[in-house]
Amino acid sequence: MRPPVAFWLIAPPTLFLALFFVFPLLKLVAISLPGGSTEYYNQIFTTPVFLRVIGETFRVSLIVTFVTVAVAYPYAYAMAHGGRAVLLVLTVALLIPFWVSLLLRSFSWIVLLQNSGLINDFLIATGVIDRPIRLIRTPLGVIIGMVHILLPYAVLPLYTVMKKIDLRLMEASSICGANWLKGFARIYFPLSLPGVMASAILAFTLSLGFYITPALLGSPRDMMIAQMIAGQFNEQLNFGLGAALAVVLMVLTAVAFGLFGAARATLQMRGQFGREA
Amino acid sequence: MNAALQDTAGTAMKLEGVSKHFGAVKALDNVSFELRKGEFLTMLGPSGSGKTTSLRAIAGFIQPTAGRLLIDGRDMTAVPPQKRNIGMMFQDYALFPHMTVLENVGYPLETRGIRRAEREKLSMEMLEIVGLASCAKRYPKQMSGGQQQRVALARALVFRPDIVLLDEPMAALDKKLRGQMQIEIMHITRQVGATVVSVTHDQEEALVMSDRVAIFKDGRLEQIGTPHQLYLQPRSEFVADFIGEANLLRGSVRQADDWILVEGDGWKANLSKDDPRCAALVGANKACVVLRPERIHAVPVGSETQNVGEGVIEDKIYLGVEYRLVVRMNDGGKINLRSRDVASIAGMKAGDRIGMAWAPDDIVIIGA
Amino acid sequence: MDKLRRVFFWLMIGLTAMFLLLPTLIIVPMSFTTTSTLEFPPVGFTLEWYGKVIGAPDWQQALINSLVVAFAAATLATVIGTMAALALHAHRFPGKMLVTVLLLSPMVTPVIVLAVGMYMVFSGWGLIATRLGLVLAHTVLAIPFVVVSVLASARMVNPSLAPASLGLGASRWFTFRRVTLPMIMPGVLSGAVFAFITSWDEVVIALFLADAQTRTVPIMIWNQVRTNLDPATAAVAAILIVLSAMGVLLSYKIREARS
Repeated sequence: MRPPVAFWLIAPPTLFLALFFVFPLLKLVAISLPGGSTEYYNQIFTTPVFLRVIGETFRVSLIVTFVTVAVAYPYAYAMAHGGRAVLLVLTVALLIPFWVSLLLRSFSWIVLLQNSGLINDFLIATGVIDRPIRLIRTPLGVIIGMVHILLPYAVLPLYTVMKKIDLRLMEASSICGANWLKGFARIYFPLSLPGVMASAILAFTLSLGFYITPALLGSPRDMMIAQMIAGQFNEQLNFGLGAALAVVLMVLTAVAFGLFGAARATLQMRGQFGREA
Repeated sequence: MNAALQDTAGTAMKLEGVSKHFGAVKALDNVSFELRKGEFLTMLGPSGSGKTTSLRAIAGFIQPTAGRLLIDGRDMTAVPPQKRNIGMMFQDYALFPHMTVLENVGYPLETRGIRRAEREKLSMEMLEIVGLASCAKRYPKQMSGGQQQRVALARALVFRPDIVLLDEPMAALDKKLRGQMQIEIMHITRQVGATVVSVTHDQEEALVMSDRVAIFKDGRLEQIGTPHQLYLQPRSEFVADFIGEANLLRGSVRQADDWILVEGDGWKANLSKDDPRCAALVGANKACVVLRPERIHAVPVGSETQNVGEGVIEDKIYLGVEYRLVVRMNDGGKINLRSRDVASIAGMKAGDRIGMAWAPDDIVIIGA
Repeated sequence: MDKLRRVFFWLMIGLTAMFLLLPTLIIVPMSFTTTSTLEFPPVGFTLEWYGKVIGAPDWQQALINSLVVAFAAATLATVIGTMAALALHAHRFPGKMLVTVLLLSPMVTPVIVLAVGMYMVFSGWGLIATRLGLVLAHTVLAIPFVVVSVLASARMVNPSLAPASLGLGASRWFTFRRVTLPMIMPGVLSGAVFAFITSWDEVVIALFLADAQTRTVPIMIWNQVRTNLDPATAAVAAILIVLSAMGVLLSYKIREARS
């Protein structure tokens, strides 16, 4: 019996990805376990240098996620409830950076954050500081750059959820005696929670693997996992160790996504997703 | 509807000259009326008449451009909604989807700082009253439209507000449920002694549920009164036509001895000069006479009564309980006649000439 | 109190919007500076950097590499991605869920992991420092975008059209070419544009797979940026931004024209 059309359609893509996507990932796992030995993993989880890098990656990712979602929240709110003109303007402002490559934008941040750059000039001009502060090659610079890159990714899931929240519920809340703050805490925020979760997990997962931005804006002392992996391959030529680090990153990313799926499922059961009449 | 209530002292709310402009649009134009404690008032009118705007102004979602709103004697015009102690049932219920029915109903108590145990007790009591005690732990989306409506009502009443607002309460229900819920809501609000302001465009709903009805048109309050008063003593063509069916006969005024006549081509209406209704006719040469279809009787053509009309039957419709005749007058105008005197109408047919008569008491005069 | 809250809110929104736009907006003006290192605001006005970049043989080589790789990867990804999307949309088969996950996974895998993995495998296959290697790698990255785009388009198509065509006696290929393809064209084209841009901007994998001969524009930029802040880099960046803008407009025009 001849295979059905579906087979011919799906086989080439599957084969292609198996060969050029799955196989390289499997190869990494293989290299990281020479002869089945977990020596590289042992090394990673016992050596301070590596633990520090993993820790730094987590720390930065958490901070970046928190800041990004916090900035994205009001922005998404304005897009969802601000009316058509506002939505248009804010969407354009959001999508323009999306279309400019990450490399170019990180490069632009270097110029903005340098000692003679716009940010420092502005801070001095407004009297916040009187000498330029060091922003390049610091964790702060990395955070600013990463928040900038992640913002569009964080806004979209929030917007999608917020759009479905009927503001009449806030009216109902106010006539029930709640002031704005109470209404937000008890009604709006809980209803927006699925969006907050989706946004946070997405931002966190993406930031774990960041390479370009921390490499350009950060200092070698505070490097993140991706930079360490690159270093092992390019400079140390320690492929086994590099592969092991890569596998660790893969696993962390997969776990983060798994958490997202679990969080979504529980919220869905509690009827928090969407609004039904 | 409830004379006893009208005797209770106390004005629950007063609107004084309330106007609201949205740019050039006058949504409300100098609206004034009082709401008595314990009464059920319905604001009735077509869409765009200002009834919903008035409701939202009472709730505090809209700030009047001019005028005052007094609740229990205190000026609340600038007070935000959350401080007005008003309960409201929204048109699509606006139940909080992430809270159980019990939590929804308890929310106004929560915002007032009442502790959980007490809250749950009061909420359950309210749910008993609306008949939903068994659904306390369910979520809104698990309930039917009619049930959601009752939850919304319970939430609006649980904290015994000064005033309860109902925004088109029947709009989201199917026809069958409407009739039933109209009576139920009326009973529930009476049971808790609530003072109610409801908004609707459905005149039947207004007549069934209310102690008084306020009719709105183009942002103004046309007339306010009991259903009886509005039906039997409409003060404008609009009100006459909006409540029930009305025949509007426009004619010229003629004085004769002790009578004042209003007549047109093929009809005349007669009132004794000392009848109080003639006050509207002083100095006028045109007037409108309102006659309800069921108040017109078929009589032989050429009858010698003083309140009589004549025309040709255009349609004869059998409605089981009565006949409806559409009669065309000489001037082309149409009169609707409803008669339960099935025997005498049965013999008539379209094209016949017919005489119509009515008692002077059934005439309503509206100045032209 | 209410007024104050509103003012504060809109101020925050405005600042956020500026934060989003600032890096993009300064690039073009920056490229005109007469100083030898990058300044913003720029000092003076000159087009010399553009001249320098356009005339430089290494930039020209990089440009050619980028174009060839991006076109090839976009084409390959579009074909593969469209096939996959059609299979997912119109057919049932065992393991559909797994295949879907596979098709979308490159989008969520950290690119550094892909880069080193491909480096290890491609060295064994002699694909390092070749355009082919880069094309294959970029195709992997681009496939998810094409699949998502074509699927979105396919979902809006009337499902009875293809069976109707087949019922009238047309062959499967004919049906695809004359009925299905034209209807999903917006998704296919938009996916192709996405794929092109993905390859065009890609830097991490390129760093591992390319050498001095096969290096792409992003690699050149990366090298430049790490050493000094040359206004020439800003000129390149400005050109790239203008090209991106044109790409975006193109994809919107396609969507408008076809719907």
